[in-house]
Amino acid sequence: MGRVIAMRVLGSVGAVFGATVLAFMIMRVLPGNPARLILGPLATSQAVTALNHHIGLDQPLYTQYWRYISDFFQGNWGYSYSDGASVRKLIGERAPATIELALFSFVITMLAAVGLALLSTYRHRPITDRIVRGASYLGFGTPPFFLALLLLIVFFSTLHILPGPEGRLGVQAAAPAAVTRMYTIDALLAGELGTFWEALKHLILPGLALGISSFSFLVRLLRANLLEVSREPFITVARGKGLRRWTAFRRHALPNAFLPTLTAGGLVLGEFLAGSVLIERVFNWPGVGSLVFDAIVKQDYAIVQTFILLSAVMFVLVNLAVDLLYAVIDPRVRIPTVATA
Amino acid sequence: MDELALSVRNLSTVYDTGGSVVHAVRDVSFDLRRTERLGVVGESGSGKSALALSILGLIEPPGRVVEGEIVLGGRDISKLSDRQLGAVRGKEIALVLQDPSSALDPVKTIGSQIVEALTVHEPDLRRAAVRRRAAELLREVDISQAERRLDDYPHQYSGGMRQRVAIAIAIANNPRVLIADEPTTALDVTTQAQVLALLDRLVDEHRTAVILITHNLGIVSDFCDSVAVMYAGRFVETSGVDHIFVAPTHPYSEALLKCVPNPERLAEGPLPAISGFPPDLSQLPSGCSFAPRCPVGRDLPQCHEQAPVPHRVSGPAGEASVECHFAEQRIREVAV
Amino acid sequence: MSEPSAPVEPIARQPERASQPILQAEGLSKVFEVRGGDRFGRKHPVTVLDDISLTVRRGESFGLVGESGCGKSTLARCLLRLLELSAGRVLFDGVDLTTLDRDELRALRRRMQFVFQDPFASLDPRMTAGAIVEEPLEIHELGDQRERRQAALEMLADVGLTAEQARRRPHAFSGGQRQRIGIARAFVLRPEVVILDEPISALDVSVQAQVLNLLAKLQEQLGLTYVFISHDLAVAEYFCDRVAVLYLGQVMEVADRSALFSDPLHPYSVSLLSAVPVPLAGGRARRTERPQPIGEVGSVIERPPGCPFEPRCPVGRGRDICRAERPPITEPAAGHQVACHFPGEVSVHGARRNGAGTNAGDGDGTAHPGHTETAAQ
Repeated sequence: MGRVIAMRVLGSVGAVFGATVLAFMIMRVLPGNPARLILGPLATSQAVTALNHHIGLDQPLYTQYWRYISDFFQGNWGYSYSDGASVRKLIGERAPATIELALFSFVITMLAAVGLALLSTYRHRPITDRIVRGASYLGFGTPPFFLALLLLIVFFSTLHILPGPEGRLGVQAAAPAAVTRMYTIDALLAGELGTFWEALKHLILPGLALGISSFSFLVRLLRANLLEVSREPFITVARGKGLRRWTAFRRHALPNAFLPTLTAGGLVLGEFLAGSVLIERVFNWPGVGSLVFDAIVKQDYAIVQTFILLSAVMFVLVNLAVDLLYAVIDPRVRIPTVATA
Repeated sequence: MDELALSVRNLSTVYDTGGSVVHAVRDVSFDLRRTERLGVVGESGSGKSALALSILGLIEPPGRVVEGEIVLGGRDISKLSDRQLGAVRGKEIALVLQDPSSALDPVKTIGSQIVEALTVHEPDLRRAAVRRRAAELLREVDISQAERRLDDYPHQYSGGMRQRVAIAIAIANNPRVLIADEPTTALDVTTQAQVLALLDRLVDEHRTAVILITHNLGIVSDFCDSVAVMYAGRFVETSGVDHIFVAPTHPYSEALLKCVPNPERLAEGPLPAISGFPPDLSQLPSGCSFAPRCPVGRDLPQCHEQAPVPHRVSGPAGEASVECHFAEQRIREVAV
Repeated sequence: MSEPSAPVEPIARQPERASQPILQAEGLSKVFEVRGGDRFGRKHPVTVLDDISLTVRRGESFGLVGESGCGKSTLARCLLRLLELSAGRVLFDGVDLTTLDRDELRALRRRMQFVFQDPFASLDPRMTAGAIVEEPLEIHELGDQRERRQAALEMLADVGLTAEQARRRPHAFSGGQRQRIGIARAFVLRPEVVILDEPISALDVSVQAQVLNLLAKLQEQLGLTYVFISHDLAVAEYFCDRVAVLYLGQVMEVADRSALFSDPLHPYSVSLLSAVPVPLAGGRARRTERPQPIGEVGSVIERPPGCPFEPRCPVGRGRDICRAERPPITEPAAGHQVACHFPGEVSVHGARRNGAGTNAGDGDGTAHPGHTETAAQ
């Protein structure tokens, strides 16, 4: 098992290395000289050269790369040329909004996927099953931003039961005392139930819009796994022992069906945490996604580059966590096949 | 030997798959006495596994048992609810399946899977006592270092050992009837011999009646007292075990026995294979379901039009019940 | 069939014609790197085939029998160099396969074909039966498209499938018919040697007979040499002229059919033979009379240093020489080789009459590196 963990960690380091090289190369070949961008079109070529020298763009590539990556891991992510603030500060300010939305969306997506997969596979329910499968197709076919607009039209413009695209809280509401800077959690910590409710209402529509395509993917995966596992002979054996249908299902089908879903869950969480540029845009969500959206428009490459790298690192970390989780909970990974007698 | 352990009457099971209805078990009746070992022989798709699941009430939708009485220890269990059946399954009637690698839950320890078989019927047992009993069961099926090996997972056991565990689970509550569906098919020949010997010992000790489902006539000879040959969902020939090897009366039984490679008959040229295929159970022919492949009745209108009723015949190796229009005539021919 | 006056006999039953070697293994060994076994999961070498020497003669059916993990499928793949050997060599018609480069080997492959056990897995579900049978001709660039199509249809007809069926895809066929397609695909190149890896074990009894008959017919028509892999001794006895018994990657015994099945010399052959259930009256009494096999099939990962069968052997268990020394191969009778320190000391007493048996057991026969079973003590 030690070996398994070592291999996974090593693989993750490799993946991060690959991601950094890729991000580095992409930024070097993209059109637009950063020095020129920083100094503006009227700057002299001497000034551009000087700045190039100052930020090290005239150094050999490997030196540049080394500087770039050691800066990255020390948290020196550079400065946004458009407003001069440090990228670290900009991202730090906006990360809690994205993380809160991601976690909320992840939880409701998982719950909905598990619930519906169970509903459509436990016992033979052809009609429910068909409806669930149809619904999941819908999720696949609908672009998330379109769904976001649809949700806004129905629940905000027409029914007036959920807030519109006004960010994390209504205009009059004040943010709760900052602890985690996730408003729902901070509101609960501060005991401000009103604020909590307000923050939660603001999460619902973007959470749904963000989760829909992953929901479709997860529900189909879970459904297939559950169907497959519930046909396994060991389920029949468990029933043959005298176990009630649900007990046999819960004890033997569920764990075996969920195990392969861990990987998918990790991917989905990673995707959510990386933020959705479009969804945040539609809902005016003040998260990393909106920041990056603006940065792309302004060719603010320090932000974009950091964002790419951060997402890659986070993705790798989430997957590493999933792999390690396997090693802990799946006996077939934990214990070698060849037992020593 | 006279006490009835299980009596099945007119059991029929179908799978309703929307477009077509598959008749997996068709009007099967039989009696199983205490300590009797009945071999059910058939090829894939003959309905033998569906029969096992039907008796246990484990047919899952879209399948369902449409008719029949299953009297176990004097009580008809066919009309019981799933909850009531739960108290019968594993307690009075137990199941061993073919593939030992998939019959155990891969993420639960061997011990917990045996314990479960005990506690489901006796939830008040103390933990230590259940564990002790589980270890005893492992010892009973000849697994050494039983206490320690309770905490192993299935993938740490060999195929033969897994099948022993499956047997331990089945006999945990001393059932009246054990249904074993191809219990040795996935095992090596030498392991198979050991598992049969183990079953021998256990069912003798516990006075268990056994239904052994197999496609292997050799295993029937090695293990069983009586035999039922299953074709297209029906028992086409039932008899004591020797009869089927001495005087196979139904043309299908005879053909099945003959197409087993026999080096003694090398000189006779090609193996007498059965022509054609087993019938589609959703579109059964009228008349005898074996008629299209039958060397006797293939061209006889009677066989294609009229379903044969069971004929009781008496041959050199005992009596048999044969679903063939020509049973009497044939038993005279084969009994030379 | 060249002399019209001579009576036509099945080739497989003509030992006098089966004299020249066509396929020879000399000191063949195969070592896999296997992970696992200790908590660090280090790789370590496992000898799956250990110094195997065999000769397959032209025109015969040569059987390879044994239980799971004996290496029979690995051996078959090594014989065609579908797997690289770790030591030793294989001669095909006098040519050392291990010295050939890729192109030379490819050219030779036409003459050596393989039929797999699983008729479901070995056929591409998207191709029609006709296209599957045509493909080998395409690969070897034989004939033009029309000729290839014609040859494929003829081959399919030979295995009992119609031109109409040639247009169907594998899922439309039964198991037996799929195996026929697999056979047609192997035979369409008119090979000289065909390796049949458990060709009937996945089939129903009644279909097994049909496929065996087909194989015998084709052998007779085409003058083929078969290497027939089986865990089922009765089928091997029925079908093969000579049989090699393998255990844990070593040859235990090689002999003519009649010698092996009536007078087996190796204790492993004996216990294997007596464990096969026979479909004849009185089986239960017979079974309780004969000795129980000892222990479970061992593992190549923990192969005993001496004779691999020693821990389970009714003769040699505990004997010093069997524990310490691998028995040399001796030839007590002409053509009857055995690797045992005490050959012939147990015989199949009473248990065996005529060897009619059925397909007992269903080990898949391949050695599984990294997935091996612990033996019961």
